Amino acid sequence: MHLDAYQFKQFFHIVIENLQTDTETKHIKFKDDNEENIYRFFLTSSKSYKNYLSNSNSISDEFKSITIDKAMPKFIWVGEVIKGSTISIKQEVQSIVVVDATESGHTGNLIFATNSKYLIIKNNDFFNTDSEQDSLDRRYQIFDFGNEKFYTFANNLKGGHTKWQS
Amino acid sequence: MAKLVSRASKVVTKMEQEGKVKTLTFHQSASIDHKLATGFKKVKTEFESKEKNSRAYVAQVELASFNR
Repeated sequence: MHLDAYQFKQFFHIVIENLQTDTETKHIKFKDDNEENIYRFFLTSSKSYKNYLSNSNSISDEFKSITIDKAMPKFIWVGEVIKGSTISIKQEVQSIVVVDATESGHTGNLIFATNSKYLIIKNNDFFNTDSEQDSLDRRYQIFDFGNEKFYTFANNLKGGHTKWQS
Repeated sequence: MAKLVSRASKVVTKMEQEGKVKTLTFHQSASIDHKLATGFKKVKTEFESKEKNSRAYVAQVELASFNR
């Protein structure tokens, strides 16, 4: 791993702070500073995480299409923000930040960030033609989904996507 | 793979027509990336420095115990 747990934890807060203060994305609230929050960080495989997304009944098909079709590295870091001071097995997640765990450069590769309403992602992987891809290359898109509901990710690396063990 | 790509592409196009997508300009996106890259670099540098200091500290302790 090129990004270890300590580094991801620090970077996660940098992502949230920057997105919440940038003029284009400041309307997206990833956490409420006036309330108590729990942060949950874990390393997982993109296959496992995509399996979780595709099996979530509370997430719309549109959200699934955009996130699942996004090309991801083999391993990713996921950070979840949970409102409150206690955590249970299946709890609602306020926002999620997904970062490339295999990134060897010095840029810190944000894959996507979302709260229950907005998704911010670079989606240039979705287009078939080069011209379409070029037109969106290295540009972020903000999707307004209304009201998605996320729950804490469980069965990490338990082979859920292969039905090996879950 | 082509099918999957086309499915996401259709969703994006549909959402664009509904006015539910905002595409940032290249400069706006680069500005976000720059801020994230700066933060990332700071995290990496701080971590490397801490790691280096901890190794130097361990070496000092080992040397002190050796000299005792």
